[in-house]
Amino acid sequence: MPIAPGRIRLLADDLINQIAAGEIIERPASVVKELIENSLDAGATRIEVEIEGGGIRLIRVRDDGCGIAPEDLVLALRRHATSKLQSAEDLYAITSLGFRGEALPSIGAVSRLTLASRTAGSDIGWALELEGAARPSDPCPTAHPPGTSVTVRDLMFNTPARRKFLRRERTEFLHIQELLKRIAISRCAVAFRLLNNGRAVLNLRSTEPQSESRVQELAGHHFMGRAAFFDLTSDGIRAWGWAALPLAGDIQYLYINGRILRDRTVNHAIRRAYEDTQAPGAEPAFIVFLEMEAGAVDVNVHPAKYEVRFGESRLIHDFVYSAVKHALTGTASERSCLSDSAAHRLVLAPGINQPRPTYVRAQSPEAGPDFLGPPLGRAIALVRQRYLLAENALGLVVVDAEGALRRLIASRIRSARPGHPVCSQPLLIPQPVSVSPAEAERVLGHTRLLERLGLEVDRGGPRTIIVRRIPALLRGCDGERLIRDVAAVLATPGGPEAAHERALCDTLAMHGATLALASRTRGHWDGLLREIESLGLGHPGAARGLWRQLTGEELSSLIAGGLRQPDEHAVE
Amino acid sequence: MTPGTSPESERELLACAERLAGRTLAEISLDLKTRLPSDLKRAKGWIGELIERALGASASSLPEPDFPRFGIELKTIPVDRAGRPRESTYVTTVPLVDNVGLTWDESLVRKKLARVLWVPVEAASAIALADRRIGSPLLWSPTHDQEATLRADFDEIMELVCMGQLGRVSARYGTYLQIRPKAAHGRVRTQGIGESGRGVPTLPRGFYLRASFTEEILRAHYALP
Repeated sequence: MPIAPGRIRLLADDLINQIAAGEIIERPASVVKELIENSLDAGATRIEVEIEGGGIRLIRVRDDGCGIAPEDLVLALRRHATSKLQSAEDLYAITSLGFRGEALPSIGAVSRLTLASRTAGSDIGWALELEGAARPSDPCPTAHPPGTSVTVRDLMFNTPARRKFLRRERTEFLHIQELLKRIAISRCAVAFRLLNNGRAVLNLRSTEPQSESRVQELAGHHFMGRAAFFDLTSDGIRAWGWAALPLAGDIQYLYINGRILRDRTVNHAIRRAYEDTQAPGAEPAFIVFLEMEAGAVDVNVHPAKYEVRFGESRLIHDFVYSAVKHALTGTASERSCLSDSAAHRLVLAPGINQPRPTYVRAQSPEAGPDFLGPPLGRAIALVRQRYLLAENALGLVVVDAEGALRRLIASRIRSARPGHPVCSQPLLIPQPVSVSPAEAERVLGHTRLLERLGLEVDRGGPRTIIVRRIPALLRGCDGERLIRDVAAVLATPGGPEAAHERALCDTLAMHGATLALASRTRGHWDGLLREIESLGLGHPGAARGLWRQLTGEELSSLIAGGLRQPDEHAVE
Repeated sequence: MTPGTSPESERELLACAERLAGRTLAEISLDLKTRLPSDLKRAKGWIGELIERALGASASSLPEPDFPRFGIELKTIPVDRAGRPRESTYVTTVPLVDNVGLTWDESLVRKKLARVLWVPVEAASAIALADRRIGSPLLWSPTHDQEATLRADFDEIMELVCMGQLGRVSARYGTYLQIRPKAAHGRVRTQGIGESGRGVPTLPRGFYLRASFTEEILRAHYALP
């Protein structure tokens, strides 16, 4: 019945299928992808793909999967018919590769399709045919091994506009071959065979999961020889695979839960890992498998299912970044890439994959005097907020940490000269300090000197001094106590300014030292010991009175009842 | 320069801000002959306006920095006893319409944040309004990295705004910059772009700097513990 133009009507099923085909079937390789995914979802262990004329003339995918029951065959060619999805909840935790129930009818809409199948339990197979927009034929019995085979002939015979976009047969075949490689790398347990115009191009036997031999066969020696294996799990996400030096070929394979993935987030993470570890601009080569709970990733984004949506893309980004980075810097897994032969070992960058030099010098008899390790040893405890106990090769070291810090800070403040004042910082809120008028006069009479030492003060009133800036080394100190102590130093009868300056340095240093010890946590003690050593204070003689060595012998006699030479290292 | 007159130069402005540092709100309002509000909740923005007046900012809501002659934006920032900002800092309204092709470089956000005079103000609730003191001023420009992050935040947020995803833009977007409703009450409506691309009434939104970012700025400059 003719319908007036401009009126709205439902599209016919065959037209809907052709539109859907436009989304899914870009080229023959897309058909191969859909068919292989169906085979994998059917639990196939062997899949054979036959191609003729670049897949335009013929695509045949044969598997030994569970097969389709004869009564379901017609339904299989109807749109939105699938065995992989039951309810809406299933959609949020998809574990099969397909689920939309669109592939077969879409392919059928743009080709001449034959579907033949035999379930494991039955004696004979059944087949039916579908040609373009026509209704499928009735199923008829046929000879067929258990499993399913789909034959697709004359792809896009009824959509000439689409067909024009196809490339030459050879190009289309290369796309199919590349796709098969990608799938085969992720499914080591499945045997694959690819025939082109009757000639076997690929013949892959079933191997162990995570098989290096299959990866090597498909990605090539060149890739594997330069690739590092990695396998990390965190927060329910696992990332494993191989990351190789640039120039290891154009292998860039990415999978999520066994599905081929094109994802900007993950690609970005991988690229950044290469940027940060390799020469910038280096082209990455990698095979990365991501595994996570099916509910954490939404695959229902696009019919071709190359894109997914992550629940927490930032988390995944950062995780993939660190996994690949670890692989590239050789800190990930100990597993070597292919074999134990040195030729195959990873050589990422000079020295990167070599074992780190460990502290072995202590064991070598001919080592020099520094074989004992750092002179002040490793910190064990802080006693009375002042003394650091440390252990070195000779025994116990007791360090007057506060005294050492005072010298350390004083030496920095003292290095200030006119034109090179001590580095100072403003207080967020200037701090008023109440003082006596005499104190105020004394402090404000020396503002020049104080500024050189990093202390900036101002008059707030006859009995108030305002502290505006303090030396950066004294960040967080008690401004009020500081000003009183400074006023006290300046109150001592006026010698030359240099005497005042020295005394002021010591006062500031004392405040800084107390502060530093109070704010430094356990993790910073060793750093503090190294700083003290760097001042030259760690060498015997240089800083008598700041630290003292107790050898094992001395310790035992100390316990036994008294030191033998009590005055040798007397503390000042 | 007397309080309330416009500064002639950037230097003069900074010197004027330095002089305010350490003084209390009561002292400053006395200078300017204004009365302290009894309840800050009913006079939101009073402190900011007081400081603007004290520094002679051209008090207007024009889409330009507060001191257009020097390109300086004035921002008071309430801080607690530990020197942490008490709240996020309002920058400017989010252009909900006429925003096609608006880039970071020509955005008002960038113009306003290019050079900011930060004026910290004590805001611990234990301190009475009159006794709260003004902090040392900080004339600041974003570092290269900071600007890169701000730009990324802006792009991300504006993409959602332009695509009509207003409902999706929550305050959780953005590292430094965030977007939040900016209105006297929840019933205010302005025109925005809906998901369909057509205009829809929506709450006015403002760009805010996260308190964690302004804390980072303060921490880099001041002698904070």
